Amino acid sequence: MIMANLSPPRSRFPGSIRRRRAPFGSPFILAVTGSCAVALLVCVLLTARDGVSRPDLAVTFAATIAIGQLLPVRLPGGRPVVPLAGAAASGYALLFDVGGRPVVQPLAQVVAVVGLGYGAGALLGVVVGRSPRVATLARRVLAALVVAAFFRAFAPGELFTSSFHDLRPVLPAVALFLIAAASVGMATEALLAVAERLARWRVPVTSLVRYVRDEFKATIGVAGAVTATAVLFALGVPVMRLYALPTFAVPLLLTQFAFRRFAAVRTTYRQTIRALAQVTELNGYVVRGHGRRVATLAVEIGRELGLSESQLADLEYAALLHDIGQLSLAEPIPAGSTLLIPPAERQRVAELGADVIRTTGVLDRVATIVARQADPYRRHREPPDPTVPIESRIIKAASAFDDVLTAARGLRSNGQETDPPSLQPEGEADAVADALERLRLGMAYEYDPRVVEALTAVLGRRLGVSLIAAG
Amino acid sequence: MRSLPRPAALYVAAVTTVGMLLGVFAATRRGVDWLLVAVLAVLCWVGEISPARTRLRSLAMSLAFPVDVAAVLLGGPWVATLVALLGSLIQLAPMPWYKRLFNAGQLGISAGIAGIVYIHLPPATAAFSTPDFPAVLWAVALAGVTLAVVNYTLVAVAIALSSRLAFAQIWWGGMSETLLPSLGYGLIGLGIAVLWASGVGPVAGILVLAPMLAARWAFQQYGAQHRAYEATVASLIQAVETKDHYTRGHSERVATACVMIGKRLGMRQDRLEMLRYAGMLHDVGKLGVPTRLLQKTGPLDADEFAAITVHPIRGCDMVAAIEFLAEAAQGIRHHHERLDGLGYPDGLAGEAIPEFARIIAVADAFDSMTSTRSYRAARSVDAAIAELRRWSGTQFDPVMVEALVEAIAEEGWTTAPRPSHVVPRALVFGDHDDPTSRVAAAMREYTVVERVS
Repeated sequence: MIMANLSPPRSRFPGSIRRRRAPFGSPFILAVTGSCAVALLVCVLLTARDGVSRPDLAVTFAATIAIGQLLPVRLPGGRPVVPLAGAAASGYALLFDVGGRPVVQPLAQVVAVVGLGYGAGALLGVVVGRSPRVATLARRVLAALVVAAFFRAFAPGELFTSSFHDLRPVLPAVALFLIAAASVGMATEALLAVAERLARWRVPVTSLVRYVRDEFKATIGVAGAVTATAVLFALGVPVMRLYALPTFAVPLLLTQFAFRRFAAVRTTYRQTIRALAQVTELNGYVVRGHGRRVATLAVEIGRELGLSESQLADLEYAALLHDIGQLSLAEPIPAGSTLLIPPAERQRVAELGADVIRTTGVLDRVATIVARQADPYRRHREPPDPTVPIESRIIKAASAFDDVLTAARGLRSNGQETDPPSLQPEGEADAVADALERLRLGMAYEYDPRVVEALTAVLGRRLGVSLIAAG
Repeated sequence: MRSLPRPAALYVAAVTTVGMLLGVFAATRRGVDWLLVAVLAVLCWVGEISPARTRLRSLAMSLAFPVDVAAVLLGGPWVATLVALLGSLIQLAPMPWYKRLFNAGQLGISAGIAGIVYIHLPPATAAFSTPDFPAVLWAVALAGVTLAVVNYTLVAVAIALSSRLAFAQIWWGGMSETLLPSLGYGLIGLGIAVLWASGVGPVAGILVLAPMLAARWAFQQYGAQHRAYEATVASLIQAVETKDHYTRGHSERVATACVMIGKRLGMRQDRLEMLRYAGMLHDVGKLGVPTRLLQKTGPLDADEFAAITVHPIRGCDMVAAIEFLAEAAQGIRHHHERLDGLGYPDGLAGEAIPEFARIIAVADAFDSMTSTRSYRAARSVDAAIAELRRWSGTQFDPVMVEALVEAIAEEGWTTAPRPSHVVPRALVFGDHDDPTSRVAAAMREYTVVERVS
C-alpha cells in the first residue's frame, strides 16, 4: 500500500467520479417495518373475526402502552426507549391470570393490542410535535410478538388452565420462566436495533460483536428494569387485578426519571463542549466552524473504521477541542490552519491543548488523543508507530483535510475569509478531490493510509459519488 | 459520640436503648417467621449496596424503606421491628458506631409503630393473605406515611439537638420533601408483600428492587457526569483566562458573588446553579475582543467601541446553544446594560434587564474593582462597596447591590490574589468591567451619542 502511494498520483479525480444511489432507505429497515405491518394487519383481522376477549384488560394495557410511548427516554448513543410501554406490552403478552382465574390471551390479540397501543401513543406524540420513527415502533411491536410467542410455545400447560391458587407451589419457577420470556423480548429488540444501526451506517458485519456489546452496555440497566416490571405486572394482576399496573409502574417511572436526568446532563455536557470549543474560533485563531466540521468528519471516519461508541465519544470531544492549545499562543496562526506552521510548533499546540484538557481531571483519554494529534503515524525508515492512537490519526487527517478544503473554497469563491460558502456540486467534488489528493501525498509518513481510505469512503458517500482511490 | 452536645448524646442513647429493647422483645416472641425476617433483611442489605449520593434529598431515602413497609404488611409490628433493626445494622456504608446503632434503633421503633397502626386498620389481614383491593390501598398508604413521619421525626430531633437549629424548620423541610415519595415507596412495599404472600418467594424482592437499583445506577451516573461537567467548564474557563493574568480567577469569583446575591434573593437551587454558570461564563465572549483593545492606552475610536460592545453578544451566542443555560445566556448578553438604559448592547433599562444580568453586573464590577489591574492597584472591599452604592440606581440595581453588601457582611469575601509580577503601566485606558475606569466612562458617552444620533 505504501509503495503505491510513493508514486505520483495517476488519476485526476473529476474523471473518476461516478454517481451512485444514496445508501439510505436500507432494504433491511424496509423488511422489518414491512413484516411488522403485515403481522399487525393479520392479527387485527384475526382478532376482529374472533372477537376481543376481556376488553377491559385490552383497553387498560393498550392505554398504558400509549401513555408509555409518550414518555420516551434517550439512552447514551441516541437510543430512544419507552420503558413503561415496553413493560406493559411484555406484561400483556405474559398475562396468565386475573383475580385468580386463568386468562391467557390469544396471540393475535396480544399483537393487535400492543400494535394499536403503540400506534395510538405515536399518533398522540405527533399531535404534541414528536414523531417517532416507524422502524423503532416496528421493533417494539415485534419484540412483544416474540415474548408472546415464546410464552405460548414453552409455558407449562397448567399455566393456561389452573387457577392462581393451585399454582402456588410452582410459582417461583413460573416467575423465572416469565423473566426468561421477557428477556428474550428485550434481547430481540436490542438485536434488531443493532441490525438497524449496521444497515443505517453501512458498517461491515465484522463490527457486529462490538455493536452488540455497545448496545447491551447502553441498554442493560433500563432493559433489566423493564423486564422486571413486565414480570411484576403478570404476577401482580392475579392478586391485585388492574391495581397492579399503577403499583408496579411507580418504581419504573422513578427509573425513567433518573435516566432522563442522566440523559439531560449528557446532552448539556456535549452542547457545552461544542459551545466552548468555539472560543478559538471566536478570536480568530481558527476559521469559523472548523472544530465542528472536523468533529463530524472524524466521527464518520471512526465509525467507518469500526471504533466503539465510547471511543467515538472521546474522538468527538477531542476533535472539537483539538485546537484549544492555540489559546495559549501569543499570536494567532495565519488563518488558524495548523498545516502552515512548522511541525515542532504544531506539537507544542497539541501539548498545550492536552494540558488544558487534562486539568478537567475527567477527560484524560481525550487529552491523550489531542496530545498525539500532530504526530506522524510513522517516521522515516521506521514501522508505523503503534503508540499514536487511531483517534489522533483520524483527527490529524480530518483537520488537515478541512484546512485544505477551506483554503480551496476560499480561493474559488474569490478569497472570502470566513465562512466559505459551499460550491456548486461539480466544483465541490473537485475541491474535495484536490484536498484528498493533498492528503494522499502525505500518506508516506503523515497520514495513516487506513484513515485516508476511510475518509475517502465517507466523502464519497457524502457527495453521492465514489471517489476511486489513487494507485 | 463525644463530638455530640450532651442533650444530643443523651437522646441518641435513649432512642438506641429503646429500639434495642424493642428488638429483643420482638425476637423473643413466639411465632416469628424467621425465614421472612432473614429474606427481608438481606433485601435491605442488597438495597443499600453503594447508595447513590444524590443532591435530591428525596432519593437519599433508602431502598430499605419499601422493604420495611413490606415487613409491616407481611409480619406486623414485631417482624417489622426486627427487619428494620437488622437491615440497618448490617449496612455496608461506613459510619460511626453510635450512628449505626441510633439508626437501627429509630428505624426499629418507627417500623414497630407503623406495624401497630397497620394491624388496627380494618383492611389488614394476617400475613397479607387475601388482600381486598382497593380497600387495602389506603391502609398501606397510612402505614407508609406513619413509618416516614415517625422515622423522620426521630431523626429531626437528633439533628435539632446536635446542630441547635429550630426543630420545626428541620422537620417541615424534610417532611415536605419525603412525604410524597414515601407514598410511592409504600406502593413498592405493597408489591413485595403481594408477591411474597402469593408464594413467589425471594425472587419477588429482586424483581421489585431491580427497577430501583437501575434508577439508582442512573442517578449515580448522573452525579458523576454532573461533577465532570462542573470540572470541565471550570478548566475551560481557566484556559480562556490565561490570556490575561490580571483577570485570572475573575470568572470563578464573579460566579461566587452571583450565587451570594441569588441566595439573598431566595432563589431556588436549580436557578442558583444556572446563575453560577452564568457568572462563570459571563466574559466568554471577551475572547472575541482583541486584548489590545481591552487594555488600550488612549481613547477608542468608533470601531473599537463597537468591538467592545459586541462581546456580551458573542458570549450569549456561544452559550445559547446550551439549552440548559437558556436563562444564563440572556444574563450574559445583558450584563453590561445599565438601569438607566445607557448600557450596551441593547440599551435596556430597569426591569427590562433580565434578573441574571442585573446580578452579574454588580458581581462583575465588584470583583473588577477589588482586583489589581494593570493601571491601578486593587481597591479595598469597603471602597468598592462605596463605589457600587454610588452607581446604585443609575448603573446597578439597588436590590442587587444591597444583597451583595449584606452577603459580604455575613459571609465575608476573599479578594483576588495580588498578581506577583505586576509592572504598573501608566496611562492604560482601563478595564471595561470597572465602572470607575476611563473606558467605562467613555463607553457611557459613546452609547449615549449612538442612541441619540
